[in-house]
Amino acid sequence: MIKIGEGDFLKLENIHVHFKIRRGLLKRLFIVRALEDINLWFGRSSVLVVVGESGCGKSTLGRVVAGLQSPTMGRIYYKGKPIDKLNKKEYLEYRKSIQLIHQDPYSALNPAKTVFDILYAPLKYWGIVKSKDEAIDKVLELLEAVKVTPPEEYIFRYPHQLSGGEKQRIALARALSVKPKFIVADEVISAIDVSLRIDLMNLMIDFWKKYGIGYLFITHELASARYFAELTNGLIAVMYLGEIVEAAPPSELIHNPLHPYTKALIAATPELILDLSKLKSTKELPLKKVDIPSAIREIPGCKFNTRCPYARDECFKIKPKLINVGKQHFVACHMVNAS
Amino acid sequence: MSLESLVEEKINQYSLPNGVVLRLEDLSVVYKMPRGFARVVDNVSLDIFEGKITGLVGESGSGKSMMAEAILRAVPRPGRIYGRVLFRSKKYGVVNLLSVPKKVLRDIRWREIAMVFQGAQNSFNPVIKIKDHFIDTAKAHGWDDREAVLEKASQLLELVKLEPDRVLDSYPHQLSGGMKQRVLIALSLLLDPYVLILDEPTSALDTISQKVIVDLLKDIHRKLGITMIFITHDLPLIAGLVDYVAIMYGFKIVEYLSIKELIENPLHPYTIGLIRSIPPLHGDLRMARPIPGSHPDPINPPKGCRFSPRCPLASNECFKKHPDMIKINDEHWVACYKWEKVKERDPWAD
Repeated sequence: MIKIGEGDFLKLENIHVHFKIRRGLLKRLFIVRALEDINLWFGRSSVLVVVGESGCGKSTLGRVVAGLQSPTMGRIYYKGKPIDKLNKKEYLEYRKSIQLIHQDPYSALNPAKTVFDILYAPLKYWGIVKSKDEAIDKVLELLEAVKVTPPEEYIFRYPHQLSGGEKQRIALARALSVKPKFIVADEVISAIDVSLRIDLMNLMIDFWKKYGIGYLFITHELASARYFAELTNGLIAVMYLGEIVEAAPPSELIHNPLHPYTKALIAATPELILDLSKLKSTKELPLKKVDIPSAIREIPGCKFNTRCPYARDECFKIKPKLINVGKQHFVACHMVNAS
Repeated sequence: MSLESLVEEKINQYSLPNGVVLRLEDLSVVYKMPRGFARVVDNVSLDIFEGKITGLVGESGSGKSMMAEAILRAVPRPGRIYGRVLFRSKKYGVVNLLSVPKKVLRDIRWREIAMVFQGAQNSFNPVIKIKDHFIDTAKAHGWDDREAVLEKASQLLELVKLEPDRVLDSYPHQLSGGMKQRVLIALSLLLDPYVLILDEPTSALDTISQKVIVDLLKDIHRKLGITMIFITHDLPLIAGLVDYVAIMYGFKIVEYLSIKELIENPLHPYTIGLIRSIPPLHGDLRMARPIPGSHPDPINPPKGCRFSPRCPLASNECFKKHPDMIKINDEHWVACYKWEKVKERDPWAD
């Protein structure tokens, strides 16, 4: 079990999500293992940053945490109580306290509604405001909080009148409107420019500092993952084909990666090194194959064995367990486990 | 009178210095909008060096894609292009791409200058196989020999590290995003162009696929020696690939410099801010900070230097007129009144 932070907020125990799909003329049944045996324990105000390629199950994990996807196996506990045992009031509190920001800000906002309408809807639903006048003040306050300024100028705009970064801030404001304790941020920075990402991350980190909001921050970009996790005392978890293969505090993960997949991700992450000879040298990616295998393919043993340059006999037969190697560093690899 | 000779009469008025394959002169792209005129590319002048890789870097909305599209006269309607784009064509000599007859332009596109458009992964025809994309493209440019086209396609797919037999027989949906992007690069090379323009070829891809594409382009450049223009918002991504970088801000090029100068001696406050705004993987996180403010609107841009409202060094002169490009040395040009001040002291220091 990977425990993040102090206290008991949300616990995922042994979570599996399998999708059944039918493919081809004969409609053969395939099983997509989107999540396999995920064990995570979030404390209060805890931050977990999840990195991985498309199709690794990181968005599915986000949906499970936000309560939008029920696991096909395993249990979720909210403040120590299994969520299927929560009474109605507790369940509503659980749903309200965890909010999700979607991947694509362009389709997450209704194009026919103004910023005010978008932010008013949750305020009204949860009974946070009594009247429209009160709502206007509240919406202005939210816009101010996410630094969309001057708020008066934005409140009656439509989504198409906003830039990508501004849309993302509105989505953040919507998540904040119900005063959540935890936000699942699914690839919120990938649709905006590299140079603007840090601005949005700083804003989210401020909410962690000020209001103690915890995050499940999902990204495919390791440098941003490190930035977010390091400034929030969080952990980074690396996912591969539905499994967590390594997890550690950011500086430990970047400077002392143990899983071959994490090493490949680090090697692939571009960095503006201020040294010309280092910049120009091309290092081969430490991968046997560059492409991720199809999600419907059954891979016995370690799932990374099709791309791992170090794969040995046992890697094709036995699935490695996620073990704690100390200092909050977890890894699932036979090579590491042996040594 | 043949087409070639017709063009020849017109072309001799232009010339280009050695080593320059493409020259933009006062290039502008203008849209008429209800609120006024939007100059989404504003008087850009730039030389693209032959056989080199140039990175065109800027925020979204800075005009970088428009500029590339203007080179091939492919600006979406009703945009209008002004200025000149001089190109050293192997067939026609030095021509102005903005004034050559349509037929000549069609002949130059893909054969001499090829372009991989943004989000092009979605530009495949979903109901035909990859091989038919190659065959159709060749046919559209007057190459009808099916066998020869497939032969060439196989070679190119191998060059982009794909299995030709498997990929040629696939439909687009059977390939991953990274594979589709590599197919497109192969397709763009089908008619042996010697200038390749790539507009955000990696933006929708994962880290590993991005790295694969960048390494591939490096490899193609080493093998074929073609000129490349790589448009992106991601400076670290291309730093190891390019020879030159053109930094675009507010619809203008604000700094143009070799990668060596970018690392050792960047002079525009925006360039320095851009470098600083990107969180490093290994380095000190405290150095990373955003550039305050936001990108200007094309209809009503700042009067003086486009960057002046956000620039920590801006003073009176900066608010009056946008600065001209100043040559610092043979591989470095900058449009800033304060470049000597920048040399003395970090403009973004507290």
